[in-house]
Amino acid sequence: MKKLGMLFILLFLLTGCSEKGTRIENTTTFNDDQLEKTLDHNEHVKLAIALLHEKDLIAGIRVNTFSRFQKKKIANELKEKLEKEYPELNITVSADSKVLLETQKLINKGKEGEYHKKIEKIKSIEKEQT
Amino acid sequence: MKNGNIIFKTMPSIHSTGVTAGPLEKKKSVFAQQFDKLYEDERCDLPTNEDGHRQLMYDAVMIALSKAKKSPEKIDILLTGDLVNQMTPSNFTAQALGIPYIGLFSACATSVSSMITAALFTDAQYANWIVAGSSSHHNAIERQFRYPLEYGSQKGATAQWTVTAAGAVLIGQNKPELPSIQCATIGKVVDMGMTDPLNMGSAMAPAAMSTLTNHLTGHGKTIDDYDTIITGDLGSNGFKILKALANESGLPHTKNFRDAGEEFYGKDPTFKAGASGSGCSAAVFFSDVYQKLCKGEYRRVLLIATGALLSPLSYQQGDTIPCIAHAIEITRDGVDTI
Amino acid sequence: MEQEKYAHLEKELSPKTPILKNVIRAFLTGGLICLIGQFIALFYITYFNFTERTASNPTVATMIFISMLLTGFGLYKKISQFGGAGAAVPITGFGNAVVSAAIEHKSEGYVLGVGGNMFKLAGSVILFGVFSAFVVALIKTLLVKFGVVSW
Repeated sequence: MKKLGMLFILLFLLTGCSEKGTRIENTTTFNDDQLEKTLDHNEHVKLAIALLHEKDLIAGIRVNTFSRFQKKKIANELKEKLEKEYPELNITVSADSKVLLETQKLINKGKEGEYHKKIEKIKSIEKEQT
Repeated sequence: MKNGNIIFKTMPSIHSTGVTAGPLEKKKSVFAQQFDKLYEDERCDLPTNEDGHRQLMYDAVMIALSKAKKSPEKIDILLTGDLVNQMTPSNFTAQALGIPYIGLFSACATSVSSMITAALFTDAQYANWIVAGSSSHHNAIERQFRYPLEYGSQKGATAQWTVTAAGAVLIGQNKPELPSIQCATIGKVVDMGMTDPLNMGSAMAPAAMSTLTNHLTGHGKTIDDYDTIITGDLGSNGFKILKALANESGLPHTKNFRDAGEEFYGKDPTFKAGASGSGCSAAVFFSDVYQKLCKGEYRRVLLIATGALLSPLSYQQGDTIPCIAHAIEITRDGVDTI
Repeated sequence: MEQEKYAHLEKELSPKTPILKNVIRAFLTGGLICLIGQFIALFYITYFNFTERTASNPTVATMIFISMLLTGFGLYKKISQFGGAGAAVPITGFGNAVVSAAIEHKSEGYVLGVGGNMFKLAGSVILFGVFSAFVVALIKTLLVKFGVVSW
């Protein structure tokens, strides 16, 4: 009985979270189909939240557990790809969970007036060095 | 004297004993009831551990003296030792008592080596009253030999716990009704190439065996002559090895063997292999064993105190651990034939 | 009896080190400590302006603070006795080494006691940590220089 309980706990721990998806909020006239496709098709990305506002595109991504060691590289590659697809936009792609978290918060709040200010803030803390 | 075997013709007696121990020993030691004084504070309400160590020794000596109704001025020599560098706790005790003093170091075997020396002085009529003893303080010793107290290092099953305890005996001329020292054996340093300071029991066991064999052959005794043969602080592991060595060397049995270190904390697994330290053998020999001798439960005992003669420097430089064991035979058979 | 023969006997009789048990315990203890650290990092990321990268500094400071309290209350040595390397390797073990030495040597005063001995255990961690970081950086620099890898 005790062993069975242990097994369940172990299974529960091993399963972990497996959310997957892409969420895009667009307040511009740019077409976001291509963006969605790019984010969705990347095999390393399991969750992506993107926000397009004025001249900015900010995307927070979460990579698969076993790709975590290359997450910086993955984010950079995505950024380069997006820069080709949307040459007119200032693009920020980050695998840092802070960016994901803040972008999600921003979208959930839904106050368009705050977008610009907040996006600048996210960009600035993302660049901050230790 | 030959080969370290000594016979005391006048058979000096142990007139009284004093044993003090710290708060952990009060809670955990199986001998706690038999100790004379137990402290509530591990530093004996003094600022440092070393001060507490000094107080332990001082009180043990004073208790032994007060039981025999003697004042320090009446004592001719004080022979004590401990494990702190340069034996400062013993030195300060001697300063506070104002008794002529020689500090002795045989590591954890000091309890017996000091008794042997005291008996020699008495036997040669140089002194009437001598106090011998030794002490150790867990916090002060751990800090010197191992890591800081609060440092987390995993101890293996062979590690031993240095006790906070002190024991002192008052030795004087023979009095037939008292336990008396009949003979002794000064041990040789034995080094079997052990290097682990957290496994001292197995380093000391061959020294204990060597002294035991030497004592038995030198004095023409067998192990059945003794009610008990008690070693100082081999711990459960070292004691197991000693018994194996005894079987191998052809001793008939080991059923009257005891080990103070193994018994000290009642084989509590939190103390791993048991107790160690120069206070361990002193505390048990001068309380449990002495009281059983006085009550007549034991007629004749052989005390073998074992000591590991290492320093933090020597083992860090990769040296082996040389060990020593001294044996002393105490009897209350009065003036029987030697 | 010769030393070799005795060493053989001693080995036979002494209790064996339960390696598997120790490894499992170390894994669980070390894992738990890191899990707590992860929660603290998450806390800093969620409620303050720290990113995953910058949150590591306050997290480390908090973990050392916790280990300092545990050391002072005499609990860390119990954790270490259970967890072994699992408690020694994370930053909390480093904190424990520093704080335990500082407590121990307070009786000799603040300058020669605490100051002089605080790093007597942790000093080698610092020295060899810095040295190995230097070696690793040197190797990486050379590899980048020769175009084997990029930064």
